[in-house]
Amino acid sequence: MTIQDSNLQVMNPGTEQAVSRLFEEFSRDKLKTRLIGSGSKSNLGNPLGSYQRLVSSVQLAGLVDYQPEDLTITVQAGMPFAKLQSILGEQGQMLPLDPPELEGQTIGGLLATNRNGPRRLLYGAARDLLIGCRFVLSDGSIGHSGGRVVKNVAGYDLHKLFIGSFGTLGMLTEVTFKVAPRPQYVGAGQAEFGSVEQAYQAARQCVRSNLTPSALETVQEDISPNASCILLFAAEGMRVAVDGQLAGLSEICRKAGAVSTKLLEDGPAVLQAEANLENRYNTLEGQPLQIRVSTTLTGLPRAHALLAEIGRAAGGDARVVSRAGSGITYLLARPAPPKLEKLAPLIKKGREASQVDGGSLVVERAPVEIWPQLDAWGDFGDANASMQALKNALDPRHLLNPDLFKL
Amino acid sequence: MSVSEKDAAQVGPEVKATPIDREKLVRDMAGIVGPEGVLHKTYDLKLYEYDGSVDKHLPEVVVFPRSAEQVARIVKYCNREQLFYTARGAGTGLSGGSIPLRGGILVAFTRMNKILEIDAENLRAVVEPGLVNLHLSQAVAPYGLYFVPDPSSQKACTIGGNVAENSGGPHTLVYGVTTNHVTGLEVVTPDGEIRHYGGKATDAPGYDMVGLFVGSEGTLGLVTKVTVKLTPLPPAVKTFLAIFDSVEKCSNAVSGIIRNGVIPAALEMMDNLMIGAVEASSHAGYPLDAAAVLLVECEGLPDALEQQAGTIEDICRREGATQFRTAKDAAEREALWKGRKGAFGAVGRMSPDYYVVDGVVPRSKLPKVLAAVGDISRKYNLPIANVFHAGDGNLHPLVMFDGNKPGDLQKAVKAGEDIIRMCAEEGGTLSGEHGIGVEKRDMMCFIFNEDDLAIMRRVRQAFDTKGLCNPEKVIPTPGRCGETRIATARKAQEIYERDAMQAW
Repeated sequence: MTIQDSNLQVMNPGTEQAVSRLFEEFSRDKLKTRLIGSGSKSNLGNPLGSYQRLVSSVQLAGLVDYQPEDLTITVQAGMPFAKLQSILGEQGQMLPLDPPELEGQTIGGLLATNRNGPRRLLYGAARDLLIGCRFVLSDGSIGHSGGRVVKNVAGYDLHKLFIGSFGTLGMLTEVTFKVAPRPQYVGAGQAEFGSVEQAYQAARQCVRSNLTPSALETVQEDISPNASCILLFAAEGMRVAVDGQLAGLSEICRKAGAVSTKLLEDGPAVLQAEANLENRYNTLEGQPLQIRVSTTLTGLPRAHALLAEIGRAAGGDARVVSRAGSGITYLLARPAPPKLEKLAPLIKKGREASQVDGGSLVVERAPVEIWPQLDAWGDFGDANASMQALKNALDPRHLLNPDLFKL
Repeated sequence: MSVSEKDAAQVGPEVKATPIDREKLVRDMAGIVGPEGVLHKTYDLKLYEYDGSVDKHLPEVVVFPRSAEQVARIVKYCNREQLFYTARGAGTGLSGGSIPLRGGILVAFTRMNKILEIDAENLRAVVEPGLVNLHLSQAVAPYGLYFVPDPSSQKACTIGGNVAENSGGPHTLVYGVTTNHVTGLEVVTPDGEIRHYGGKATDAPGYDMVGLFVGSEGTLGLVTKVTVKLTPLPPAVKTFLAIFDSVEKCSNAVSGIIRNGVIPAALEMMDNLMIGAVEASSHAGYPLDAAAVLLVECEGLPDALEQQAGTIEDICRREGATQFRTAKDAAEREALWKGRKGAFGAVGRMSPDYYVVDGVVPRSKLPKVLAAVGDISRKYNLPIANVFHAGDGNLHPLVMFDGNKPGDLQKAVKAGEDIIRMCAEEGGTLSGEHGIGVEKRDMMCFIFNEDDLAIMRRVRQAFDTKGLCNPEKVIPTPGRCGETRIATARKAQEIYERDAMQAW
């Protein structure tokens, strides 16, 4: 979207050296530079400040090294995520990240924006899977951290810094992941609860139980007060074991007061549809409002209520969805235009309430009218000085993806 | 000029050791932590000059803070007075991370050892850094929970030390190492300010400061509070031994298990020399005549457990396991683990000294690398026992030597360096869990070039602007890389001579 709007030509360096040469030149001339992959997630976070150069990683899309017997793979960062999965799939393996599907999205883009999905409950997020990377800093220097082995404490874990950094520290050129065998079977089920609180309580009991669900998601489509709530659950592994797990999860839900429980056909499709929910709101014609709150498991009901309140104020189509085993909850909405001015103060209030126990409220997507009144991430508390020091060390002239982070 | 040249020219802030007025220092420290929180007599300091590695250096003073505020005051004092400072937990580290290489203040965290909160519903605990690793798992066991990282030193090592080194342990194969189990940190940064990264919640916006700090070996600041993830105890556990008549078959079995994707909770390997040492000290029940054994632990729901164990047994038999023994009860299981976790100590009974190596290789390279370790043992004519986390390719060859025999220590250090160099050449790394510290600092160039190191130096200086925080650790000084071999040999010679002096 924004890429076409821009009059700038997209530069597509095909080697790490070429990226380095470009950056060295831009740095000399103090040219602010926007970094992108395929541009599929360019409406995430704060709008960018002005920039003079636009560099994409899509020509850095090769397979570098794949050792199926070691369960590790190294690829260039511009490789499309779908391509990576298909390479792994040929060997019966997968990268267990299940972000919302977007046409052409690159691995580098997924890492920079730290996307994931329902199955993070079992497999973790990008920080648990990325074991090394190569990168280019804004002055053209090339570096690497980590390696291609699953256990490694040599040097600083700089690769973790790039996850969720939105391209503000440097450009990833090559990444190494630990991967997993594809499960023999993925099964899913759901339980309906009369209240949101009951659904979360059931989810907490599932987490504390002997069982190992791969996903626990609450979905509330009708966010009016006292509406019912669905808890979606999934398990994966050998067929027999999965059946046992699903039976156990259903049982926990029934004991926790579920109105009904049922098993669902085609577990993988159910989970992918769940991961893709935000795409329904993130369309070209509508202006999505997508807010994420990170909290504790016991903090979820309150965070959910907060988001539901914002959703109701926004009017229009809205729902609240949670990674109920991971302490993450989302508002997905398409606000009615006249309601916009009311939203910013409500969101700020919600943010203040969310900032306990390391929790946070992030405005991932919002109608353009809202941005002047809101920062996507909010302040970083007393960690701000450390993040600023890092930014100054790695991108001293603040050239990369300007103003995305207010540091 | 390129960035690396620039960096080499500017080595960062020049740090001078100010002549220290010991009496004033002790008085000032007592003013912060109370007189009972300061050690300064040489006799006492001697206990704090070493850790589990071969290096030593005396601090000027050891202080025992009780709060983050006291730590912050100590760090501010160091800034004002240009004093070096180094954090220390239990001193069980194996790479010299807590040795005050340039003297100054050693900040010992043993009095900050409380569990501040157990939040079982949210699977979190908030603890002080001096808490002993095992004490945490014991405290949360009544809630059906545990803390996953379980280094062999877990009876003594501290959570703060685990955070500094990003420690592992046998049971981190499936669930990950320390960095995967820490969600929040309170840190006193080198500017003397108390800062909070993350918390009980995950996915804090901004940069992953927790991810950077875990494993930074105390070079970016001092951790004063840790929020950890707790994990439900497994419903059932099955522990068994697969016995092999050759090391090669055993390592092939490891490769086969990983390739198959049935990854057990723990997958540990020991060779014949190690089995002998372990049996001599603990009578755990390992077969003395085996060339190698695999200690395997599976956990989960009983049905799935049996199926997984069955698959692993099939793979082992296919690769030539001669025997398969299952621990029949908790006592047998504990005996096997006691033997495994006491392995380093057991070697201490067999050999006057030993040098633990901590290399990692891609798992499919294990057969090749283990054969090469045998060659290195013959080359230096020093016995090398192998015990290691086979599942993650994390080797722990123990090079046995006699420090009283002239030249033996140097040979051991060189053998260790040969092993590490080979791991690097096979696509692996210098350390899986023991850290770089001072021990492997000058080997960093086996896997990082000057540009990589210059960037790490930039990150370090962003925090430690004055160069006072745990000096001379992890990152070699620029231009040092070419000289590694000589430097290590010289270091070994110095240690040898110093020890010889002390023996007098």
